[in-house]
Amino acid sequence: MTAATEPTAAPAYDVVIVGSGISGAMMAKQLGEAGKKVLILEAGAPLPVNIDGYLHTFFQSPAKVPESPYIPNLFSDAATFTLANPTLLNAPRPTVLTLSADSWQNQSQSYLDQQGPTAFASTYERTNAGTARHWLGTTLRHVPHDFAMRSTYGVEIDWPLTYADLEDWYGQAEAEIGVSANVADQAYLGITFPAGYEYPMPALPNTLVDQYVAAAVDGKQLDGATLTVTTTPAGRNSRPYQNRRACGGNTNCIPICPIQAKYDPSVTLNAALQTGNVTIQYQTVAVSVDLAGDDTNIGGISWVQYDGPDGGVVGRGTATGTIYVLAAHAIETPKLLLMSTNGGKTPNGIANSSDQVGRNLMDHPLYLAWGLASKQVFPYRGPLSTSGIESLRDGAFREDRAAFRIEIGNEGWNFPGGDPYTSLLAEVLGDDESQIGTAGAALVATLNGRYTRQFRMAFLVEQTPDPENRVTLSPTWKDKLGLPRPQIHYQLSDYTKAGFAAARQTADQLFAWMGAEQVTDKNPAAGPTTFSYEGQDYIYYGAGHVVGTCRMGGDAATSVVDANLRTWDHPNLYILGSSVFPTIATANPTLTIAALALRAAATVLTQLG
Amino acid sequence: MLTGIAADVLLPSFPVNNVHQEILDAAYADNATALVQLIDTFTAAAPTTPPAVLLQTLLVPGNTATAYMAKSIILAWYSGAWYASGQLYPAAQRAVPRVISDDAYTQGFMWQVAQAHAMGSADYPFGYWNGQPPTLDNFIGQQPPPYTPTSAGGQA
Repeated sequence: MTAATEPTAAPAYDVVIVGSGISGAMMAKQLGEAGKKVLILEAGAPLPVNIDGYLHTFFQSPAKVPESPYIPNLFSDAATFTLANPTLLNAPRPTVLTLSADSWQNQSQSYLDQQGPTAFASTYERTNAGTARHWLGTTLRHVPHDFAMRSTYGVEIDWPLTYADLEDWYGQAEAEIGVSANVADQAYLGITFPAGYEYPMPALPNTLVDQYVAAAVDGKQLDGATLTVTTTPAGRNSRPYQNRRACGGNTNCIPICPIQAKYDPSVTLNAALQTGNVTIQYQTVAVSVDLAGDDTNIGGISWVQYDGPDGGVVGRGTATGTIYVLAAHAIETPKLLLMSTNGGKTPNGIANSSDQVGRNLMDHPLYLAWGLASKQVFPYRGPLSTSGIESLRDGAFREDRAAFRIEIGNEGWNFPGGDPYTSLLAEVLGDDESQIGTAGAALVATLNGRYTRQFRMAFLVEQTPDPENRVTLSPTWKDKLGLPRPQIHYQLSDYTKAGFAAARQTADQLFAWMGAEQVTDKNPAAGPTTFSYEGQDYIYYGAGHVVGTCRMGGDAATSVVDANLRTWDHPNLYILGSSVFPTIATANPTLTIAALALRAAATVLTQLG
Repeated sequence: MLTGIAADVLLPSFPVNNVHQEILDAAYADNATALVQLIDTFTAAAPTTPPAVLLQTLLVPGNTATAYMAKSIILAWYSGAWYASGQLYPAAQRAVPRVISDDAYTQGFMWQVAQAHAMGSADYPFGYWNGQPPTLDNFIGQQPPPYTPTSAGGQA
């Protein structure tokens, strides 16, 4: 399948791709359709015949979290809630259950070697079709100023690309994903569309929660903006598309849509494989990116193959191609680059002459606000989120503090409060002292009254790029294959914290306009994801938006890849995914990841000739 | 009675799943003695006891094996998971619940009392979320009329 390498041997493939997530799959499909021979090395489990097994695992799990359905299992023993030990797994990944005060620095539970000062709170998958297996489906475009923060507001840095450079690629990504939205709703804050452009499908209907928020908020003025509740563009079908059915409102986009009305990268990966030109090796972990004889180009990617999540090694080899593409997510990609020392020829890793590999790790730290509506709004129905307030994603305030978008949730207090379980247990069991709870008709009335009024809002706060927020190789902790695990240093800047303060003020104002009862925890107990700012205490959550560790730029001295995602150091090595984002921007990253991957595929095809 | 859900909703004449039996099996495996005691108490008292008083009889005091069993059964019907009846308290040391079956999760009544559906298992047409749900009765059935004790011993 892959040639054992000799530096002078002809490459076995046109392109070798590491990772089968949304970037790798989109690259592979474009190349396969153009007749190029492609090999994908996928660290995780094979594509299943269908998703029934994932669903069953999810239903049976005592913890319904983003990673629940996928391989490897969260638990080594679910009955006792014993978390799997990443030291004993071949391709482990971080999980949200390992972010607690007890777990986050316990490396027998946490795959990441977290050094603090605070915890990096987002996770990712290492499995077929990648982390977008459990994405929400939000497909917002960046606003133009997201690409030009330095030149517009004097903060952060500019991208080497503009909105205009990506506009057509956004459209192509929307076609591949299958996005439901209306152009008229999405043309705000400078976002433009080509004349006559239409999204592949019309917008999804909104929910009663959305309608409740909109009734109170639409048209109000805040921070120089007129607020509007906008339907969120979504990679969820509003009518049949790509042989997948329309959304059934299962309220389970994360972790798994039971009917695949939500796009996931298995759609593109299957299409890539069906071209007949794309080969994939599962359970195959790339372990080094190897220099060619000229010490400039890449000559191969060495891999190790294993048998099952905790099984033995079954093979080793080196994959060779004319061009190499790393699409292994924003923590595994820099890890692989840093591991690739080439016997001392690249002591700081491949593609790292700028010393930027692994730096500027970012997320959208979330400020959550939740409460009870002043009337029944019937959550736990429809997709997890169908609308948001985008009006505050840009403005002059960005000179001083982080911007945010506001996502309206349709899943009650499931995210912030663990409901419906938490309220059920509290009602039925009462407190430890009396041990007397509620039952019968009174239980129904109490729970119905509470559940049907619950809602939450998530503020996705922009995080600044900080070179000391970084991924390095753990000197201590390894996985079962003996490979170093990622070590993480992470904290929020004052600019981002000021964005949190603005988020809290905005939430308080929104709840007041709605007449809703806010129950947000404003005095969280100190923990791995808490901080104080100007006398107030905050807790942040991860958005799953892992960004920034191989930044693109216009200068080889200060960036890892150029605007075409080609590494400055190695003419035949590309890096895809959110790791190349110079800034986190104000949109959920997946659509931009996809647009950049399609754009890079065109570049790679040109280079192949 | 315990759950507040109509009996013919918990166990229809033609059940489409086996959740009722699965819950009974879980309860029996957990503490057969307490289960039998709970059923005996219910059977003896039900014909002559108003429902509010009957709930009181089954659940107060809260720290008996039969009251624990009653609460675990309520939690099973609502959440689809079995919470070990001997380890409900203190909350900080509660046993990890065991999901009884896929059906028990998807049919859990905590979703029904929310006039919704289990996350990951809806059976509604596209766009249903844009309007009001059916009324609560459609999810949990009509509440049974209160027991009316009579000199002949009331209804069974």
